[in-house]
Amino acid sequence: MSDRKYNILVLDDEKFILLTVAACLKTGPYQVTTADRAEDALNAFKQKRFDAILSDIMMDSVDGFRFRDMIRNYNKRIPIIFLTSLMDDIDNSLINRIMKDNYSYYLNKNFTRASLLEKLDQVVKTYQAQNEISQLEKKIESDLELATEVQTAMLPPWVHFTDTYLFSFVYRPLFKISGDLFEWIPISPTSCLCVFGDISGHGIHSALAMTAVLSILKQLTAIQEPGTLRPDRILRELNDFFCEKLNMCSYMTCLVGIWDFGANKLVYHNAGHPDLLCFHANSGESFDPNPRRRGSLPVGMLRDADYPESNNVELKFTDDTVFLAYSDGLWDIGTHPNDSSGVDVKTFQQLASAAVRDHFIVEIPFRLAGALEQIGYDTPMDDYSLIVLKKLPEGVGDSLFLRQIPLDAAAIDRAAADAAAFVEKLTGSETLSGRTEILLSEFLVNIVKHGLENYKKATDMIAVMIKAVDEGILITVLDRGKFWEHSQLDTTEDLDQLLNELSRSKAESGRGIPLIRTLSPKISRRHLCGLNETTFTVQYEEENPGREGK
Amino acid sequence: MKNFFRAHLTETLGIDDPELQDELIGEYKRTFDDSVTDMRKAADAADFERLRRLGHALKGCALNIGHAEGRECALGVETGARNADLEACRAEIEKLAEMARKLE
Repeated sequence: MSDRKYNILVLDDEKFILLTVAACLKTGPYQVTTADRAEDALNAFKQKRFDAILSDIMMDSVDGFRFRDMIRNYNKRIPIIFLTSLMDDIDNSLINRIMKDNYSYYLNKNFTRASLLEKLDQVVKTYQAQNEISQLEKKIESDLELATEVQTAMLPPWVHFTDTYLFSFVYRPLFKISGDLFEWIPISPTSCLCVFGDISGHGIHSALAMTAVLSILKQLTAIQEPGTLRPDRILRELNDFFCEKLNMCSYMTCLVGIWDFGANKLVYHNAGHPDLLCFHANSGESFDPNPRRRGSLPVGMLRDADYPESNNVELKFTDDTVFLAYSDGLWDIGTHPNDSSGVDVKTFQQLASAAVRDHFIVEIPFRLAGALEQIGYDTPMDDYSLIVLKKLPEGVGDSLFLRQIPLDAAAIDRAAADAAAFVEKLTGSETLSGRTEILLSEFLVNIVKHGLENYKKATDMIAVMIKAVDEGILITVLDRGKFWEHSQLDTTEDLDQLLNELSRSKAESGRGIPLIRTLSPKISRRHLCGLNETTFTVQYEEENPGREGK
Repeated sequence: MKNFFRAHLTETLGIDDPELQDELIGEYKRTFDDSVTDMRKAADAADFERLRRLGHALKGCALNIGHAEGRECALGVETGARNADLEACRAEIEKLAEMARKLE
């Protein structure tokens, strides 16, 4: 032990025992506080940091076990040594009661100084070690929180619309942080570089490597002319990075693709990653983009690995092609903690085909993750990610309003104004336009934003889609706020109740839900495995149920 | 007895300060005397729970100072009380009273 004094609290209703223990410990590295009543001992405990407690069991007022309960309300792990007349009293039930608590011990009342010091030394050291571990755990937890923030800040937003294409993704680290990688770097208004990767292992090691890879990719694309970017070259650079800078302590399966949505052309190179799944959105039919299985070794496995241009896959695709990228953690999702059998590829493809055919593209990763959970695959054994990309049909912006909105009041106001302009142009109705603007503004500011503020900024993008329907305008809001995540709201009454509560407690403008209800009598809400979908129908005026303007 | 207790305190508990030893031995005697007095009262009232507790407490103190006979009789009171055997308790209490006189 070091020179420091350890604070020991001794409780016994016999003054003689208190004196003996104190005298015994007088010359040791201990500072002894004695009490002959549990209440006094508890008060002393509250006022000072103790390293161990010695307590009698059978006492007149509060017995030793009740005293232990009182202490455990304040400290779950401080060691408590019960002094017993071991030879005479100890039996299984007493031992069981003592040992019911993981941090309780016992010592015979005919202890010697040596046995007392040995026991105290043992428990104090154990307690110290546990405290150090606990502090280390807290530090690791705090570092992990920061790492999670950093990592998610480096990822693209979960949804992104350009004028020509869109993507969305689900990113599921096994523990807070992940070695899965998705990078999206726009090259021109109609083309982009996407990198999907999976670094060996998981946790901090692979997450650090993942963060480094994202930086390298940003550097590479910053210093190269857009026209010279080629998947094989990028992979060579990444391989050099893994072999030289990371000293081959990790490797990464990786798929690097350059999508040209203007020319409907994709060039990609697969370095040991699960290949892309491709579907036709109209039919849900899938097709194999790489029937000849071109590809190379994962990066970081072999210093001299070649990533020849001839192994690039070139694909001409149709406007309705949906690209689905994923990491192989998907195949390790089990049905219970000891099961890593994973879903089979065929089942997954069938689920994906149905999702692609029947649902809006942005929702697909969430719908697939949800579908897997629904059929029992709810226990991931590895990080996994699901990313979907699709070209937007030309002129889609004339009939469909798509916007990702950051969690920012000014951005929400701008988006609401843009939505109003879109609705007016689409319907010619100033009334619908005005209602849309107010509804969006009210809902996003007073409901969604507050829910998201309770969550992490990494998921703070809100997606809004607006289109015309027979009754008027259909507004769909997708958000990833935790606030709604586990609520089971199937009835309109429940929804009303929730919305009203949110509005009452959170509304900034003071109008909130009553106003939203007036503007849209039809509201529905669903939760799609991490994604909240709320739809509003804003109707034409009753006296003019047809088109007001056009 | 005093020398026996001094030896026990020194050798077993590492307490070799004579003043401290005297204080501890004096406290043990007081505890012993008080216990005998309280045990008699409890026996007169046939309060077995009180007898059991008193026997148990004195037994712990006796163990602590190495007083084997004291521990044995205190245990006898505790056991007698647990069995609601007043005669057994009284017999052990009288032995303890005799011991208390010898502790003087």
